[in-house]
Amino acid sequence: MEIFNVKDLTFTYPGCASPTLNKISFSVQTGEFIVICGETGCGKTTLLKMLKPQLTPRGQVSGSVVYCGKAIDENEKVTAGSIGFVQQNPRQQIVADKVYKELAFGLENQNTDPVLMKRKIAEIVNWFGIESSLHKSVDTLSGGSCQLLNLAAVMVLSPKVIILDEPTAGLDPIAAERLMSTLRRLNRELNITIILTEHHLDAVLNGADRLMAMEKGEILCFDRPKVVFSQLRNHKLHHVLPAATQIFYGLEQTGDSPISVKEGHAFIANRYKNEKKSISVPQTDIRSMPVIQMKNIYFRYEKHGKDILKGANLSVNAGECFALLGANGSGKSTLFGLLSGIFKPYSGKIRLHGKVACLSQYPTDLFVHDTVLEDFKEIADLLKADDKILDTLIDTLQIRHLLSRHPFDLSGGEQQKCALVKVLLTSPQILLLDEPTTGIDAFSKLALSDWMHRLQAAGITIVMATHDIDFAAEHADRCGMLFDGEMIGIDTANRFFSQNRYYTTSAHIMTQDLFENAVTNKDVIKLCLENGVKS
Amino acid sequence: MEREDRLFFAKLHPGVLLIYFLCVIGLTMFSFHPLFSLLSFLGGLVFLGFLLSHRQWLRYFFIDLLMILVIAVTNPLFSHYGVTVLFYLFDNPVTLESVFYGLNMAVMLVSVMVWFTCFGKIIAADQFLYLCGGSLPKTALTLTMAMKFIPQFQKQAVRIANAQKALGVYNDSSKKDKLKNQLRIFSTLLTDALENAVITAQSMRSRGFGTQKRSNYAAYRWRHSDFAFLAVFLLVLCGILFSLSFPELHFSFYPTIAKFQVTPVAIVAFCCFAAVVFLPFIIEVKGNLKWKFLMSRI
Amino acid sequence: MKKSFLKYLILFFMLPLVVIGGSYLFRDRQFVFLLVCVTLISFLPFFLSFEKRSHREEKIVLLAVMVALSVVGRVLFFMLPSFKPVTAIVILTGMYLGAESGFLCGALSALLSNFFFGQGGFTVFQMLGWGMIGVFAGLLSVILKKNRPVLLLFAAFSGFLYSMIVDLWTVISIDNSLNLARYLTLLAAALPTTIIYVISNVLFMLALAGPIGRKLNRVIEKYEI
Repeated sequence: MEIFNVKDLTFTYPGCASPTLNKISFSVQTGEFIVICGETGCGKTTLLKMLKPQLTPRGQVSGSVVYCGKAIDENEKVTAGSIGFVQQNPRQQIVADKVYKELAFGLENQNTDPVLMKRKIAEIVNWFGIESSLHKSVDTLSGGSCQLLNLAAVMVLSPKVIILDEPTAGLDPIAAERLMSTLRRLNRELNITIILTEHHLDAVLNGADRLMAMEKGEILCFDRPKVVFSQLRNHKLHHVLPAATQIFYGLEQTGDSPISVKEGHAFIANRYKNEKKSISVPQTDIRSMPVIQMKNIYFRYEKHGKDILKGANLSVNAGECFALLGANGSGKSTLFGLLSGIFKPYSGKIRLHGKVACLSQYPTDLFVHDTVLEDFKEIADLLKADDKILDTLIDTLQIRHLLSRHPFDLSGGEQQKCALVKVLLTSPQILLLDEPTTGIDAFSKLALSDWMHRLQAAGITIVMATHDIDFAAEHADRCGMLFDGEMIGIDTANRFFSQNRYYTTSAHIMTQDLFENAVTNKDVIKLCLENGVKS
Repeated sequence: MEREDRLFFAKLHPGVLLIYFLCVIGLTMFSFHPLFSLLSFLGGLVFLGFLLSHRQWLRYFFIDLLMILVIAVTNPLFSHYGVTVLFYLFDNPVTLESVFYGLNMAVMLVSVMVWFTCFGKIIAADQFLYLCGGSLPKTALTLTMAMKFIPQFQKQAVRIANAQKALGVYNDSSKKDKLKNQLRIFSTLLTDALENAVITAQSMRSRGFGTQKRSNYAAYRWRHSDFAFLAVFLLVLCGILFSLSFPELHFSFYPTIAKFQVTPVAIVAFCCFAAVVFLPFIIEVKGNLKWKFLMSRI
Repeated sequence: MKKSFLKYLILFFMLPLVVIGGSYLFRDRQFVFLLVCVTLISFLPFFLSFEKRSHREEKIVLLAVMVALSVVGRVLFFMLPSFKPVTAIVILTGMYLGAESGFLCGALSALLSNFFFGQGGFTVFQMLGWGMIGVFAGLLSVILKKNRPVLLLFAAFSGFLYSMIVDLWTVISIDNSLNLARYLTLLAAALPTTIIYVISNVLFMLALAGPIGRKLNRVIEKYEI
């Protein structure tokens, strides 16, 4: 049965010259699991909002959207419950202060009888297994739990379809996987249609029926994932493809591409020899002078609280990029706080050679004025810095066109760059980046990697705390993991990831028993080519 | 569990609790008989004893005594009614009547304070909002949302403060600088809060807010104990209100201190009032005895 | 329809009964009793009209945000006694979201912050004080938006008005009448804190009027609240 039928949908925002959506046509069947991907600005969020009348933006519309055989704006009361929508920001979507109130919210809106309300909530609580959290305050929940709560709050209205706009942005990999597996369960067990957008396809494609690739307001391709991949192989969007697929196309193969790690392993094992098992890693030219030395650091927030850091040791060399890995809550932000001087350890010594600057996960924390330029000027004036420095930074990061805009109007990647300029104006020698890759798309990640290299070339040492294993493997010189209050496994990126069995890149997991130290996609491709095809 | 949650009294329906507290506070605040004030003071202190630790209660008690003293002593400075002059201060008579008036006033005011403290500990925001939700749903929703934002904003304020401090450009040596920094943090917090408000509004709209009248999630149920309590309470309350229409319960201090009249009506009134203010105590004792009895049976 | 009509009927008969009956039974403290009753009743039209009208979701969220900010603000500036951004926030809410919203912001900020800082008889009068400031700000919004000095003056005046209202309650609750001597003494004794409070109002207004004003304008225009 058809649940959505979109015909020639064109949408233009008021005041915009060109349409955001251009003659989009597609249809979705009940029970499908659809994933939409595309660069930032391709129109995927707008398209999702056109499928939910309560969120449809104002503007010029032509074409039609049919939901369950009727025009979508025909019965708003029904579609409010029947079409569920979960947005990106986990905490901001929550309306109430306690979990049970949030679950009741939608039902209260529908003037549900209190007795029936309790039954419906009981059903959902049981299905999600969150009975113990029912009376908890929402501010005690983690980001991942908040997003699950948002999902539950939507489910309580018995929707036929759930639409999600980048639901895992800002979540750590474990929380993201928990959310995705819940969505898969919803789809498989309850036959609920799922439509979601994502940047990082690796985690999402498992269980997906069809994939839609969008560009500049048009659909490039909408078909089963493997079909779409073969269409995208030479398109710039190939950066969003899963590791196995990228390796497949990197090796110039044709036919059905592998998607999962399992398929990738099978492909490589069957096709390529593995006589040459290791790749030579070029020695990076690092001056081995340490800029950060943390010796035996102990820290806790309260006098009788738990130790966050217990004898942590860390040494970072000049000009290198060090990736600080570890689970949520392991203490990475605390460590950064210690390095930036906000906190002081109660035991141990920290020696820093040079000024430290920190770019937090929330770049908007640093914005004070109404335009970007005013923010820059304020810092420049306070530091009595040369105008030339500011100009150079603006041009290096290519943000001149953003100067007159309001900081809160910019996209995540743009905000990050502007906050970075503010931070760099203080001329630091050491730059701390806290989760720089959360919520930004693959292209912004490339740009990020680019300016990080440039900064390193200018002599700045970078320490980045990240969940993004692939990014760390590609970019970092050395890695270390924060576990149980200590730094463990400090080593070069290649050795760190090739010696791990689980906490490592998809590329390495795929080739663990074939090659010794293939950590990035490029490594795998190189080794396969060097080995040659099996005869 | 918090100390207050362990009370049997606290398990009554919020509506019942609200009526109880409003009546006790109202009766204390609006009636003026010294015996009422004294009984209320004692009842409140006894109730507070269940809610605070020994040390906290003692501290509270001594502060109360101090306040009573201060108010009682300063009253004669302002009101000069009364016949029995004790001495003259700055050409103004300090009368015995005004001292006792002040004493009564002080005990009454402090009792109101004590009962409000008990009220604050027993009825949390949640219960209050539940009661509002029935008759003032939009107001209740606004308050619930504000309750959600408050801890969120507090955490954000700390986060913003750390980020701006780490920048290392803002001084915080002088008090003026500290103030400027706090203002800047507050301004950033504000901007962020207003910008993100749209997302919350969208979340409301997408779940059908405003399309029809709202119902209220039944977080609390009416139980037999609630009805029983209300019945007893209303009976006793009527007793008090009825007796208030009689003159013997209206005590006056000026021009001379009235005499205590022990009439049947008065006795009924005082017994009822004592019953009202000690009701929580009675419920606690009864509850504890019942538990002990039930446990001994096992 | 029938249920709400019954509700209003009950209210219409109960209220005078309670007020008149109470003022007789509590004739020793009649003035105080009537004052509390009248104040509470004066709140009703605002709350009832808020409930009756339909509002855009953005407006309700903005109101909740402003209330939350005034409570958090009070906590944030805790180290500086009497520094409360509540008044500035209430005035700005009244200016941009209307007199009704201004009242609600003031009244609810008082109610909510007392859940954290402690309730008392003064709660009702704090609600009245800040509520009234919100209403006035709403009524004078055109002038206040155009003229910055007038806005600062209004902020200062609001500080005095608020202190006077709350101190009025303190005095009346003691004497059951308006003892002018006691009232003036209390005002004089509280003058240092009142002055700090007034200065803080002006400071907050200076710091926040621009940003909040522009922000609220943007959101209001964009979503046609």
